[in-house]
Amino acid sequence: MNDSHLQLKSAPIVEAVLDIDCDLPPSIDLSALEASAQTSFGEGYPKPRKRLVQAMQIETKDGEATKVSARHGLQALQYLAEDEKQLVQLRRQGYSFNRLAPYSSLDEYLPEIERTWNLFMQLATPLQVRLIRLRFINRLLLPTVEGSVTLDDYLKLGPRLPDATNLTLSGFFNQHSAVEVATGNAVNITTATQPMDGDKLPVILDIDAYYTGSMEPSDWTQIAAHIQSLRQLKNLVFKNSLTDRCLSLFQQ
Amino acid sequence: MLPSGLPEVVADDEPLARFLMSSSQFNALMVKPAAYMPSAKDGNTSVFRHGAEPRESLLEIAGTHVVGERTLHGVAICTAQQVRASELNVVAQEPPPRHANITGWPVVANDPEQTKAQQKERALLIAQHAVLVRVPR
Amino acid sequence: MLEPVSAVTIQLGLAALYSLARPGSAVSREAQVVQQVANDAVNSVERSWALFGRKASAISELSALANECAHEGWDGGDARPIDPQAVSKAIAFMRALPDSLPLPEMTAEPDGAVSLDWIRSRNRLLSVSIGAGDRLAFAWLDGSDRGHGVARFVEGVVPARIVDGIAAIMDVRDAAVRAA
Repeated sequence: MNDSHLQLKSAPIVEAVLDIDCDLPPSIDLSALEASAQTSFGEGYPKPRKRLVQAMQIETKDGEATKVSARHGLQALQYLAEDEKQLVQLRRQGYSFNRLAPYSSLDEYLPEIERTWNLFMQLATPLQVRLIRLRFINRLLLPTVEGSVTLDDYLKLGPRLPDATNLTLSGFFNQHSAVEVATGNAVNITTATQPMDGDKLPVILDIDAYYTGSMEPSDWTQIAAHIQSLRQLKNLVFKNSLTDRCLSLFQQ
Repeated sequence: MLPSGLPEVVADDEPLARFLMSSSQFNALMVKPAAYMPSAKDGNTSVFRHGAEPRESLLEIAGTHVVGERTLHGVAICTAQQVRASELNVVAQEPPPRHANITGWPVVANDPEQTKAQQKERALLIAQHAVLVRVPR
Repeated sequence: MLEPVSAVTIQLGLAALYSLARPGSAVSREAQVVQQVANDAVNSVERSWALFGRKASAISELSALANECAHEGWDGGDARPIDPQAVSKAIAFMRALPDSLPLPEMTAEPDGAVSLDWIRSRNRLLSVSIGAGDRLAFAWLDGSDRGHGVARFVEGVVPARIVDGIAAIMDVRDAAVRAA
């Protein structure tokens, strides 16, 4: 089945992320790229941010006060669009493109992804691509009746309780990992509940599809082909994780 | 002749002492390679031209020039020849008396991890032969 | 009905969970929810002695080492203090290590990195340096064979070269079950 064009009127996507992880030159210093990255990305993404990683050290010695120290490392340079719904990231592991809701279609974003990827290549001069990841985080708002919902009405991958008569489900976190043998693509499928949102039960359906392999950074044709392959897998997982009744919620 | 009275050139058969300030630097089998890794500051590994005996003078060197307020856990002893067989060198460097440096650690320009990997291999070769002298507590 | 699990492509489920529990590239509130819930699941697993006891002890040992080598000159010379980021990475590395492999011995290096050593004998050992970055320097001695290399530790996956090296040095069979 070709699911490359799954059309939903109101897709429940809250975030779509494309990661292209690569080997960067050993001598690269992310903080040294900050100024030139801001120039390169500034036109479409005028709001710069940094993602830091912090490591704490707690030192104890008999008879002495405990000393706490922290060291910061730069994990990513982030450049946000004016409305903060879209961002590009220069990470120590590679490149990311994030789109927050409202999300239209990957076809609409691909030209911009290609453009910003080319900018990333000029800045960071990656040696090779190692992994391409397409992660779609969906927030499904399931309608309840008198405060409860039958999950099987909406989820094909729903949880099961050992005793449905005496136990009532109060929350869940599930994760499945799978490999698509024909393509070598892998996928992690995570579902988790959130607290009630009015009379709706939010369920997060997080589909994280990725391909691991070596590619030339300049070979956009090959990279784009893998993105489309991952997109097909993601759409397949999405469609087959949900019942028709659930899918119809997103056609309204 | 150096102020310590030792010859300027470290002979192959001279024992070299490396003082171990953490019990993690050795185990029941051997001295660990990290104990010989070079300083990040000067690129050398500091040793003293002394063997396991006489023990009193060995511990005196440690107490005077190395230990300070820390605890000495052990001493690693190898020979200059074993260091040179690892494609490194030993060069006298006084003061302090009897002090020398293991030098010639490989450096790969613009690639600190490759540098580390190559240095680690040499450190493994020295550690393979080093003898541990335990310090009574 | 339960799904069949392929032994050929088996991957340690916790690796995917750890991956979710780490800060990733997603920025939405929902991504943070998933991360938090995954973190809670990780904490629950790691409270179990059966599931995590050995590694919990090793991590505790590493914390003690970090404390011991927290000062400039901890080696009596001019060694740098152990780098807290290197300690974090070393903990992540040990979490990611397949359960079929023995845990390493640990020591600090003069540049602030953590050295993880698998020592079978004086003539058979493998040593990995863990610093703040993703590239790991390693070297091994196996009788008259020796060598060194650099491999990348990303996304909580121990590089195959290192897994295979440890298995070979420590004579572990069935190291084919690897972290994803």
